[in-house]
Formats: sequence, structure tokens, C-alpha cells
Amino acid sequence: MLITFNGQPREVPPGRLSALLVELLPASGCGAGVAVAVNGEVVPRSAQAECWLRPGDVIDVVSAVPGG
Amino acid sequence: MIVRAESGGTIPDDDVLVIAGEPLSSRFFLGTGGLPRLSLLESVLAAARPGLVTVSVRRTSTREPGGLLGTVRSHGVRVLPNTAGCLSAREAVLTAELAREALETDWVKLEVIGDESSLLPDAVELLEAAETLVAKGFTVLPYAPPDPVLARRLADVGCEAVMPLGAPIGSGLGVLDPWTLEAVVAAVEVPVVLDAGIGTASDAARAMELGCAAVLAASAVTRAEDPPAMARALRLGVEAGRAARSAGRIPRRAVARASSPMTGRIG
Amino acid sequence: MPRAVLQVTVLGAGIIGLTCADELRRRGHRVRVLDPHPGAGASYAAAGMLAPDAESWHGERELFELGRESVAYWSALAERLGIGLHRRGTLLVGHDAADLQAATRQADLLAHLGVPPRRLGRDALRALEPGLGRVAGGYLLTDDLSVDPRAAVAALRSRLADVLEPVAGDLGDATRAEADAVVVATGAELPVPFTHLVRRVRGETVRVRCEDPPAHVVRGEVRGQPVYLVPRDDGEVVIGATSEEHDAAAVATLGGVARLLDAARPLWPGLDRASWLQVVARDRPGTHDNRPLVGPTHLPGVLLAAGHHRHGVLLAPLTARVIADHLEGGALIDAWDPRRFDERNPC
Repeated sequence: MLITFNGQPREVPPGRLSALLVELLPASGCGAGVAVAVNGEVVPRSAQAECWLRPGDVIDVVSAVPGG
Repeated sequence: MIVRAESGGTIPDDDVLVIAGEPLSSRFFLGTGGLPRLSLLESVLAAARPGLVTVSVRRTSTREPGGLLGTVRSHGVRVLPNTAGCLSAREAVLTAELAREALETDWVKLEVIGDESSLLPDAVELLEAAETLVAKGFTVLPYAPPDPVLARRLADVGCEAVMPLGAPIGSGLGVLDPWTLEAVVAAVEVPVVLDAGIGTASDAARAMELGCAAVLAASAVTRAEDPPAMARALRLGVEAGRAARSAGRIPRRAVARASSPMTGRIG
Repeated sequence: MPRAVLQVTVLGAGIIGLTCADELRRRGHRVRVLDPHPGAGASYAAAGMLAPDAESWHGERELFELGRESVAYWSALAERLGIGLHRRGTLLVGHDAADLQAATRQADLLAHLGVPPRRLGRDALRALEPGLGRVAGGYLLTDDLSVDPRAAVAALRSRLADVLEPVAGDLGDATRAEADAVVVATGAELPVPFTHLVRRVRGETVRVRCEDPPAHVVRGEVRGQPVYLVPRDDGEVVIGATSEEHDAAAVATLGGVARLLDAARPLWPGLDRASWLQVVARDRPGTHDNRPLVGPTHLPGVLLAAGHHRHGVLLAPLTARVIADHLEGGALIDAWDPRRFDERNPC
């Protein structure tokens, strides 16, 4: 199904947000420092396994960068 | 808590900067945007010894690129995410929420820009975002125009500090309007942090002499020819200005007033 | 005693991979170059300024000196490839007073580095380039040259046609086993386990055809926005470039192009009559300390020739020498040793 990931359209299999993140974020074992929003709402780490993706979902993943 | 200054002197316990009940180790805050190479961050942090370090939040597909957070935290400094680039209250609120989740802090430097060429804040969206974020439990430090009336409104809706600009971001022009800055200091009880426009150490000292509780600088450091040296200079400038403020300066007079005795002169 | 003939596999056929392969062949070694899209990465967008002077910055003296060394090697390389070098020099200008201050900072740095550029007022600049727009003043940098990277890549591909294979290549056991060494020159995307050493810095460039292009490379800041105009012999002018840290695919944006044109047009008003050729965005490979990654890694037999950021075209011939010298006898530029990051935890 088609979703938008960080502004780019992407074809992904249906599933949980947590599974998608594991696949799309390179495995580095660093843990914290990243946050995810689905359709403009933050989905905390604790809720990512219970979040089921739907076609057309807009997903944004952010982390800290130098700035300010 | 004693903070040891470069010269060997100390800042007394009763002059520690407290924001939202949290004591901060320094009145000099550092922004991280604009460094010519990431490898400078370590030496800049060591020279600046800042009380807070600001970072931005952006889309990414890698966890913690470049080790930014690790480097900052290894210096024991609190990280303050900003909502730089947001043009509306809605965007700023979402960015703040993402930052809270990513960086595990309730503190946010709220920026809502109204004009992309001057980068001046949008006061209306800023106030709305501040109110929303305070209600959501954030500790809000808003970047604001130098305006005592707006400063009072921001403090009234629950912001824990006010951060008026001295001059446009990156302009290096220092404090363009000292009288209005003093009016902001007088208008609110919360700490006033001069943010934006700092060019060099004397600008930072000036802001502190005008009554600011702290100074935030980014471009002044990151775009200087020698960023670690300028970070040190600004840190010292902030300390000097604060010390001068507390020492009670002499009045400015139009006529001379001799400092040596007039009686007993030879001839 | 004759030198051993080495079998080297080069991953990546951009300017770096191709010059490394070419140098190794020139020294009598056998090479294979693997790339499904040769020359399609940053080399395709690059303007090709060979500009150690204009690009220098504080705290990067050794990059400046190595850059100058590499410019010297470009003459021989260009001749061997049968392509020309643009030798008219660079005008470093400022549009307004603050822009001129920025140019003066650069000039002061160059004076400090021993190569003071000549200061030129408005009239002198217009005499050199009658088409120049409103400028507050500037400097002439005579030692910065330029080359057309696409012409260089085409010439290299032609010379290496018999060993260039349109496949991706990897660092698997098979690849490593069949060669004495593997040189990784894949640009902004390095294979595991080196991926974290390089971050993507997108650059947008615009190519136009100008009836009356500048004779020199013209660069500087216009109201704080850096811009450059690099002319080719046939009237093509490369306008560049933006620089943006990001993680998504490198696409050209309207905003980026608008910023470049807003800066380019005041410098060269004749651009308004230029015809569109192309807008290209690609990723530069950035490193933590702005120095390239050239040399051996913790994996035996695997070398990197990567992380050149803004200086790929400039440093290509020097990189090729370092790689070949290292493979033949272990020499290295210490500052470029990829193993300097081995203790750094990518987290």
C-alpha cells in the first residue's frame, strides 16, 4: 500500500508502524534520539507496536540536527 | 554550586541562573547551527561551557547522525530543542512534540517565524503556540521581538523565560535598541535571554549590562574565523557584563569629575 | 626489482573511482571498475572548480595545501585525457558592502596562507568583465582553475571501457577474494560497514547557455547567499550551488533554484537572456571533519577513496596517487586515513 515517508511516496506491506521503522531506519542499536509522527500526531515509542498503518498515512521521522 | 570562571574567580551561589526551577551552570547559551565542520563542536563546547545548547529537529532516516546529542551530553549540558523553520503555531506545536519525544525533554525554544527574509518572529502565532504548549506541560522559552508588551503576554501565558532578539538572526549587529531591551527586562519577572544578533563579546557584555539574565549566540561563534576562541570570548563577555551589572556602575555625566584629590597639589 | 602487478577492483565510476582506476592502469596494474550508472552521481552535478584558494577556510590549511598540489596534477591529467582546463582565473566579488567584507575575509585568509589575491575596485572588475552587474568590489584569484567534470568522466570512461562493468559490486567475500584490493569510491552512499562515515549534503546546480558568458569564474556572496558562475568554452554556464544537509533522495527544489538565481542575476544580468539547459541535484559526501577518507580500513584489502565533500573533482588526481602509492608501498596522507574514525562510536 502507498504511504508517504518523510515526504516521499513509498510502497510498503501492511503492518505495524514499529515493524516499518525497524526496516527503514538503519539498525544501529542507538535507541533514543528519534521521534515519529503519523498524520501529524506524535506516536510515542511505547505506542508504535500498536499503531497499524493505513493507505495514505503520512509518516515523519525526525531527529536532532545542528541548528539554532 | 560554585561555577569556576576562567581567571580563577568564582560566581557566587546566589547568582546562579534558574529557569523553571532548574539551576543552569552558565549564563551563556550556545546554538549549534552553522559550524563549518562538525569536528569543531567538541572544542567549541569545551570553550563555551554553555548552560544550554540548542539543536533543531529535522526529518531523518538515520538515528542521531553525526553523534550530535552524544557530544553535547558528554559535556553535561542540557539540550534545548528549537522549533526553527516553523511558520505557524500548528507546525511549531507538532515540532515541539516531536522534539520532546526524540530528546526526552519538556523544554523547548519556541520559534515561529513570520517573514522568511528577516526571520522576524510572528507574534500572533507565537503567543498562540506558547499558550498551547504550556497547557501541554512544556517549559517554553519563546524567541520574540524586543517588545515589552508582548513579553508580558508571553510571561502571563506561562513561558518560563523570554528571549528577545538584539538584531536579526545572523546579522552580528549586537543590541540595536538598548532602551527597548531594558523595557523588556523591567516588564517581566521571568529571566530575559538575549537571543539573535550577537556579533562579538562586547555585544554579549552589553546585553548583560542592560539586565539580561543570559545570552544565546550561534552564528557569532559558528561563523567566526576561530569558533572555539570566539566561544571563549563570548563566555567571558557574558561573565564580565553580569559582574559589571551587579557592581553598580557610575552614572554617565556630561562634565568631568576629578578622581584625584584637589588639595595639597604642588605649585 | 620489478613492482608486483596488482589486480584491483574499484567500486564506483565517478570522477574519483575512474581517476583511481586510470592511475593504477597507468602504473601497469590490472583493474575492474564496477558501477551500474557511471558518472551519474555528484560528478554529474559538479561545476568542476579546481579552487583550493576560493574554497579555503580557517583551520583547514592542510586541505588548502593538498588542494594546490592536486591542481598541479590536473594539468597532466587533462592533457592525458585530451580535455582543456579553464585558466583565466576566478573573480571573487561582493555585491553589497557586507558581501565585500565576506570576500575580504577570504582574501585576508589567503594572504595569511601566503597567496594574497589582487584587490580590484569596481572599475577594474568591469574592465576585466564588462558584463558584471552591480558589485562593491572584489579580488582576482589567478591560481584557481576549472575543468568540465562531465568531459573528464567521458574521457576516462572511454579509456577504461574494456574494464568498466555496469554492475553494482559489493564487499562480499567473493569480490574481495578475486582481487588484491578493493577500492570503494561510491560517493555519498558507502556500503556496510562504512555507511556511517559519510553524510549526504545535497547540492543543486543550474546549467544555462549564455550568449555572452563571463570569461572568468565569477563567485562570491550576493546579500549573504554564496553563488558561483563557471563558464565553459561553448557558452554553457554552470550556476551553483546550494548546500543542504538532508537524508532524502537528492531532488532539485524550486526554492533552491530560486535562491541561486536570485544571487546569480545581480552578478551577471546577461543571464536573463540565457536559455535553460538543465537543473541537477546530487549529494556531496560529507565527513565529520571535512577531510576525505582515502586509504586502508579495518577490513584487510579494502580501501576507501571517499568523503570528498566539495572537493571531489579538485582532489581526484591526488586521491588516485595516494591510492596507487599506498597499494604499491604503504604510503598515506595521515590526515586522510579512514581509520581515524575507527574509535568513534557512530552513536
